[in-house]
Amino acid sequence: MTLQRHMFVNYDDETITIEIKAYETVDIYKLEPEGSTTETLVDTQEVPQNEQCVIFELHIPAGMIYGLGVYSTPEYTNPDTAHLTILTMSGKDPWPQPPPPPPPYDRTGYATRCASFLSGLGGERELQQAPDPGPSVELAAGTR
Amino acid sequence: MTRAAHGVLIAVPETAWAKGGAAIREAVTAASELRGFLEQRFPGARIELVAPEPGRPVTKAAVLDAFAAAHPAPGDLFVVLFFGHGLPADSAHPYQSWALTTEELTDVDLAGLLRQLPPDVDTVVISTCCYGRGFYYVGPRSPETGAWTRPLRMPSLRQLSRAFAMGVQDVVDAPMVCISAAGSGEAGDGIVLRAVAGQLLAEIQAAAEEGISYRDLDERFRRRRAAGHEFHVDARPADRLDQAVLATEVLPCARDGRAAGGAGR
Repeated sequence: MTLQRHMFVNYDDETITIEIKAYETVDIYKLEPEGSTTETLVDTQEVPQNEQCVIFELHIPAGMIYGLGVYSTPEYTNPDTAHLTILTMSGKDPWPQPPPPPPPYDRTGYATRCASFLSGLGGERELQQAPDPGPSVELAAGTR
Repeated sequence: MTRAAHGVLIAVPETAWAKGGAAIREAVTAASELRGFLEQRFPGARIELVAPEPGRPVTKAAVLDAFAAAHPAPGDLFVVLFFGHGLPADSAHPYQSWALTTEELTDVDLAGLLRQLPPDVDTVVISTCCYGRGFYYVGPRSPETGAWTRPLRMPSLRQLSRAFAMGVQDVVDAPMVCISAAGSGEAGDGIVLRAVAGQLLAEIQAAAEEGISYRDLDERFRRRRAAGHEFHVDARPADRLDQAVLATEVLPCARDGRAAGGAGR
C-alpha cells in the first residue's frame, strides 16, 4: 500500500463541489493561506460498517486548496476543469511545481507551503550514501 | 505518592535524510510541551531535551549522552520521545531508524539502550515519525509472527559480529510500552502525515489526564485510523496495556522484571 496524495485547487470565486467515492476512511485537510500552521484537518469521512466504500461531497470554498491522503485510489471526476486543478502524487514524492496561488494565498512562501502540504515524516536512505549504522550501543555501555 | 520520572526527548526538525529537505518546524515546540507536561505531572522529573541549537546539530553522541545521564530506578517512569523523520528498514538495512541531523539511531540501538536499564523501569517510547512502530518490532519483522518478513541480504561480517555480541533476540525483547505514529513499515509504506504528528502527543497527554489505560488509548486510535493517520499502542509484556497512561503511582514490581507476563508480542 502506497500513500497517495490528492490536492484540489479552486480558482473560482464560488465553492466547487466534487463527489468522491473512497474505499477507506478519508481525512480531509485544508492548506492554510497564511500563518504558522500549514494545514488543518477539517473533516473525516468514514466507510460505514458493512459497506465497502463511502461516497461524499467535498466542498472546496472559493480560492482554497484542499487535499486528502488514501491508500486505495478514490474515484472522482473533475466537475469544473476550468476552475478546479487536481494534482496527485504518490508516497513521499514531492509535489510538482505548484499551480499559481489562488487569491487568498500570499505569494510569499506559497511554494514552500504547497510543498509541505500533506508531507510525511519519512526520510529516504538513497538521498545520501548511508553510513553503516549497525548496532552501536556499546558506546553507552561504559566506553564513553 | 508520585513516582519519579525521567525522560529523553529527541526533536529533529531538519535532517539530511528528508526528501526535499522538508522541515518539521513544530518538532521542538511539541517536545518542549511534553517536557512541561511531564515536569508538572511528576514534580522533580529529570527530562533531557535533545534538540538542535544554532551551530549544534542533533548527533548520535548527544543522544547517547542523554541516555547515559538518565538513571531511572526500578518503578520509575522513563519516557523516550522521538519527533522527526523516520527511515524504513529494507533488505540492506534490517533496522528502522530515527533520522538525526546527519546520523541515525536504529531500533536495535534503542532496544539495546533499554536493555541496559534496571529491571522494572517503566519505559514508554513515543515514536512520532514514519515507520515509527518499527521501534517496537525491531527490524523488518511481522507484527503477527515476529518472523522476518523478507529475505535479508547477507549482512557484513561487521554487522554479524555486532549482532552476535549484543544478542539480537535479547535486543528485540526489550520491554516497553510503544506509542507510535505509523505502521511498522513492512505492512505498508508506513508514512504518517506531518499534519497529525502533534496530535499524537496531545492525545497521550489527554489520555494521561483522563486516567485511561494504554489499551483504551489504542482502541481510541483504532476507531479512526486513516491513511497517513495511524497511531498504535503496543506493550511488552502485554499486560502493561492495562496500566494507566503515564501513571503517577508506583507500579508493583513484576516477579522477574523483563520476563513478567511473557514476551507479549
